[in-house]
Amino acid sequence: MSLTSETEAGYRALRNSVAVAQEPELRCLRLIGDGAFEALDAVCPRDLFLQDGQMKHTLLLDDEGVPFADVYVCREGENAYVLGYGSPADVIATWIRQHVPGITDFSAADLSESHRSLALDGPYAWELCAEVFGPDILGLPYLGVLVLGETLVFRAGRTGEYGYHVLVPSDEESAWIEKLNTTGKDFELAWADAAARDQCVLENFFFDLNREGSFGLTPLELQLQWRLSTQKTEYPGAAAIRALRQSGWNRRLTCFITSEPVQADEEITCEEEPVGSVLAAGYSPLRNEYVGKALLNRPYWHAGLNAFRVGHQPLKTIAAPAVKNLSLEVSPYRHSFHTRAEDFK
Amino acid sequence: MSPELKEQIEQRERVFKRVAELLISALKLDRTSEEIDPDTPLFGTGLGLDSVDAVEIIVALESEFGISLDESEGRLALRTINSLVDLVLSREEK
Repeated sequence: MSLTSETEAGYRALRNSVAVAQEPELRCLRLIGDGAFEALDAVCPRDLFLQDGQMKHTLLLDDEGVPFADVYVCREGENAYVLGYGSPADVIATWIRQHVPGITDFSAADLSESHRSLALDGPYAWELCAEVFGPDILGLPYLGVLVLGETLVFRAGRTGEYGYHVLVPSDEESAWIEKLNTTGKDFELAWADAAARDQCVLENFFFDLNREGSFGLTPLELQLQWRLSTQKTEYPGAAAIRALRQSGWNRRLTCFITSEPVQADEEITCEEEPVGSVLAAGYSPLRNEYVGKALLNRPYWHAGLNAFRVGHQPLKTIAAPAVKNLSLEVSPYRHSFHTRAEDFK
Repeated sequence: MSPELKEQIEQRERVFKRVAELLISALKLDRTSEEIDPDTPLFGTGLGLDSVDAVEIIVALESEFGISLDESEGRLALRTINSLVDLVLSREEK
């Protein structure tokens, strides 16, 4: 169950230099009008205090408090953007209008129709992006938005490395890809397929709608309480979240490692008693072992326990993230891909 | 559950609560320890702390647990509350 050579090449570039990917699954909705932020604030479970050029990571919840979209909400000038994964942008626009019927003074545009998304991730993604898209990228803070003509750059990612979602006009996509490929040769750029990116998301314990997000779990069970306001009382799903807080929840997503492959849905035992199940797992070249996410019952849901089995296979829970990201060491102010050997002697 | 595992879980819960309450107090977070998950990222996304907060945490860790960190240790230990719990437990073992 190790990675294919193509996947591993993308994975290695993402972890060591920079990787690029087309992201047709990334949705982007632009809301314009006086009521845009009021509408978003009413449907998002997180407080949306955003200055111009800032973005926040949140969720959109159904009435049961289960996430159906994993999104950033962004403010740029008079525009609000909802950027993320899950339901198509037009479905999200309709859903917002249904939940705020009294707020009508905004319009919504699905940027997926006019733009294409390129994801650049890696410890030196900032340097390649600056060369290709311009030096303003270097001043873009984490969770910041930059507008370069018709191109939008969102600095965010789910891999634990420097990450940029670049939305380019559809008719310019091939020209930008060519420029990235040409300039990227000096950065050992590789294309990362979905498997490579998914593995990095898994290792860094970022939420994945297609994996643990498909099990009908709430943010409390998914360790995503940070994406919920402690002050807001009214948003879609709020009643379900409130009820669960009052009753308490008895299972939680937990990061684990194991030396042999395990599969989603396999039962996890502790001292021969069932205590949970595997939700996702994949081979980590950085660790040379398997990393995964388990749903474990209270009180077994803690990291640091070497007490579990899947069948006869030992499984250990660990603190997330499962890897030490090179981006933690790399500074755009002090380092460069071209001097990396000397930078990290 | 075996007594050894029970003790290990209880120790982890005790340290988690101490670390979470330390962060809430030092950083004046508007959350209870039950409203903070152990693997929540501390910086950037997650709790959204910054470099000033990092200094506050380092000072609080020294004061509460007698733990001092160099830059490299700090980068790894200050990722989540769980990574701080790992740090405290590993220092207690020494």
